[in-house]
Order: sequence, then C-alpha cells, then structure tokens
Amino acid sequence: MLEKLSDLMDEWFDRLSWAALGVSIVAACFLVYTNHQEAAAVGVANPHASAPRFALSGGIQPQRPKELEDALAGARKLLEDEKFPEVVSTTENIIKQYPKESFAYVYLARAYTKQDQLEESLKHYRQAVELNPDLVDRKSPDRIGPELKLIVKKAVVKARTKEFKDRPDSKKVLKALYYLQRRLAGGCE
Amino acid sequence: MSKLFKKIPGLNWSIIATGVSFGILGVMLVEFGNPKNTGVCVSCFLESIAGSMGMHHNVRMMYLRPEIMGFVIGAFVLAKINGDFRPTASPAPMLNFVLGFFTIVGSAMFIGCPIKLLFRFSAGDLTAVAPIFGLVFGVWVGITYMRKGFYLGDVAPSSPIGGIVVTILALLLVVFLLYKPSFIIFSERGPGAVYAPWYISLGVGLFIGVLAQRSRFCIVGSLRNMFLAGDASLLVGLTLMILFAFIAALVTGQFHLGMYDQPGSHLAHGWSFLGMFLTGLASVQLGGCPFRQLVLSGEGNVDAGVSVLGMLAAGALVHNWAIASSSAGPTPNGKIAVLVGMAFCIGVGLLNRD
Repeated sequence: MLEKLSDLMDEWFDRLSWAALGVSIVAACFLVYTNHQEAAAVGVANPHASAPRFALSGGIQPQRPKELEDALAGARKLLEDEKFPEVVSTTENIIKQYPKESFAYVYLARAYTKQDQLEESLKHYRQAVELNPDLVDRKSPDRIGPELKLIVKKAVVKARTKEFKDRPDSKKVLKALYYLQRRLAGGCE
Repeated sequence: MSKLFKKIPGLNWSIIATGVSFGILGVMLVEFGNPKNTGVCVSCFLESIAGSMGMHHNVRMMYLRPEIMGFVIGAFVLAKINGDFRPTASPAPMLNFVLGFFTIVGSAMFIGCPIKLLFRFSAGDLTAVAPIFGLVFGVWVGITYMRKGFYLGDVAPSSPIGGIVVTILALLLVVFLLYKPSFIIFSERGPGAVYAPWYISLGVGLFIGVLAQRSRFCIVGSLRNMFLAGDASLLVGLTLMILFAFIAALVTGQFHLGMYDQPGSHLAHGWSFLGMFLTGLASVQLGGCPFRQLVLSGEGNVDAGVSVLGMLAAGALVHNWAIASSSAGPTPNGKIAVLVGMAFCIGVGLLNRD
C-alpha cells in the first residue's frame, strides 16, 4: 500500500511541482495587485514600504515641529491635571495631523488606562510601539517598558474574564496584547 | 557509546561534540548578552553585519557579529591544518547566489535561520513547531528533486584566491570590529545593541567553526542524509543540540513554554511554515543550511562563498524592501518574496536536471 502510494507520488511529483510553481506565481501576482490597490486607496506609492520602514528604521523620530511639541506638552499637562476626556480629544487631534507621532498614542493610551478602559489603552499602546520600537528598548530614553509591563500584566488577567470575551472587539484587543507581550519579551527583530 | 557508534555508521565524537557544544554555547551566548532566543542565528547576524556595513538603514540591526566571522575563520584554520582546504567551484555561481539569497528571505519570514528555529523550539517557543514541519517538508521536496536528477554541474578545482575571499572578508570584519572605523555603524538601540562581549562571541564562533568543519554538522544535511541514505549520524548531532539547548535553557531560566509571549516571534504559522519550507528547499539545492555555507566557504568552497555573499545581500534587502517579519507578523512584501522564492526554487528543481 505504502509502496503504491510512494510510486503514485513519484509519478505525480513533477506535475504537482509545476502546479505549485504556477500557484506561487499567481498568488504573488495577486498580492502585488492587492498591495497596489491598497496603496492607491491610501494615496502613497507603497504603504508597506514607507510606513513600517519608518518604524523599522529604529523609530528615530524626525525633528518635531514646534506646533507638535506644543500640542504634546499640552496633552502632557492635561494628563498631569487628570483631565482625561480632554487628553483623549487633544491627542486624537494630534494623531489626525501627525499619524506617526508615537507619543500621541502613548498619552492617549495613558488617558484610557486612567479611565479604566484597558482594552482601548492596549490598542493605542500597540500603535505607539509599532511606530516607535524604542519605546520598549532598555537603552532608549523614550522607554515606557516598565509601565507597559504592568498594563500587560493586568490585561492578561482581564483577558480571562467572561466580560472581556463577550466584547465585540476582543480578538483585536487580544492581538494587541499578544503583540505587546512579544515586544516586551525582546528578541532579535 | 561504542555500541552506538557501531549501530550508526558515520557517527563519531566530532558530531557528538558539535551537537552538545552548539546546544550549550548557543544558550550561554544569550546569558552573556546576545538577544533572547538568539544565541546563534545566521540570518539575524548576517542582517546585523549588512547593516553595520551600511547596506541597509535599520539602525536597530547594526553590529559586526563575531560569531559569523568565527565560524568561517575556525573552519578555514582546521581545513588548512587537515589539508581539507580545497578551492572548488561549480559552473552555476549565479544560482548559488540567488539560492543563498532565498534562504535568508525564508528565514526573515520566520525571524530566524534553521539554527535559531531549533534554539527557539528548545526554549519552549511553540511558534517554532509549524516551521519545523516546513523545514522538513522543504528538505524532502529538495531531496525528491535530487532523486529525479537535480544537478548544478560538476565541481572543479578553482583558484586558491577565490577560495579564500570569504575568509579574508571575515578577518577584515574582525579588524573593523576591534578598531571601529568611521564607516562601520553600530546600533545604539534595538537587537543590534544587544550582544555578548566580542571575545566570547568570537571564541565560541571559532570553536564551533572548528568542530563543524570536522563533523560536517548541518541542520539541513542531517535531515537530507537521513531521507536520502538512511544515514542518521548527523541527525544524532542535531538531536543532541536540541536536547542540550533545552537542558541549558532550563538551567539558566531561559525556558518558557508558550506561544503568545515569545521573543522575536509572530503568530502567522502558515507563513512561518512556508518561510522555512523555502529555506529548507533552497538549502538542499545549495548543499547545506546557511550555517554550513559559512563553514564550507572557510574550507575554500567558492560556491558556498558565493552563497554567503547572496545571503549577505539578502540580509540587507530584507530590511530595505520591508521583507523581514516582526512581532506584528509578516509584511505583504515578505509574503510576495517568499512566494517568488518558492517559484524560483521549484523551477530550479524542475529544470536543472542531469
């Protein structure tokens, strides 16, 4: 039986190989096409080569314009004064103008954390770390690793509750949680 | 032990020593400062070297990893002493370059070469399970092409200078590491800034390079020999490497069983499978895994030297072209590159026959 199967496999191997070659090429072309469509929708040449490239390039933030510095300082002040709804609206405005500013996401996440909205907070921490991996780097002055570890620890406990599992966005929040866990674990990437 | 040697023809002390040392020293390099689960990783380290040479712009991945230079120089020294240094070349240098390139593309999809795959697995990383199957499947497909006559041409003696180029490059990089010329860049943050002291890394590299030259240790080769000729000798070394890496990880507290919070990993198991499938297939067509290519290049094998250059080029381009995966998962460019690599390797397997 096994011998017959092996012979049959041998006979079909080249045909299957040609099929696999064809499928690989078609799938690659399909991905190129969808990537191109996505790029056209966003309006940039290649969103996957430009947006993550910034993050991959070490999260070195370009010199912030003064307007942005002032806006971030304002958000920080609102956080200190515990005016959390105002922090949310201020940082959301910053993000609209500067979607790659990681600290806007950090302040937004902090505001949600203070309002006990752990799930929202995780999503924004994820965006912040994706934009600026230095946030979880031990050697970086921007480091928020210890703060993030506490949030993740709380979230892991919360993720086991029924209330969390019943949330419509629980999968997205879990993804953010796992991402942050992996980033905090370190590794070579 | 002698009974085991009789039972498994080809098994010798050098294979056992390589497996055991690799397993223990790989984990110890993490203790000394290398990134977590990355005691040794040929693809990550070549990416770091490419970055340090200014070939890519990811400022988090720039360091001249001495382990890589150690493998090449160690293999060269022992090959010279033993008279195994034989500069040879096949008539297909471009194929070797491109196949070497795709071994790193596949590894970048998974975030690690076959050696790191085993280190991650032995440290309890369950995201390494699917790519192990991918690697084995890739090796099996590659062997089936070999059975059907896959052939890259006759190997012929080459000029001695050609055989020593990669070793000279490795020596030069050691000099650069020690004297830090201005054109060599070192990361200040990220994995490129996480490393063991250079003398420990270089020492381990030299030691493993010497042992691997003697034993012909190869991750893909051990599977290939088993499938092709039923020769389990290298597979014993591989098993010992996993076993001792597991024990060392347990002893040092690096073992952490799980899937979701593993360092340098992602949860796209299907793409990890395909990435390692590509690495396995391309490695069989090259005649060895990325680590073996480094050792062979030290022995004067020009084909392996060309593969190493292809691997180095890939180490740069996986960052410049956003091919490398991250904790967030594979990138669209990475998926396209893996599919193109698979099509290429399958095409090579179908069309290059004796």
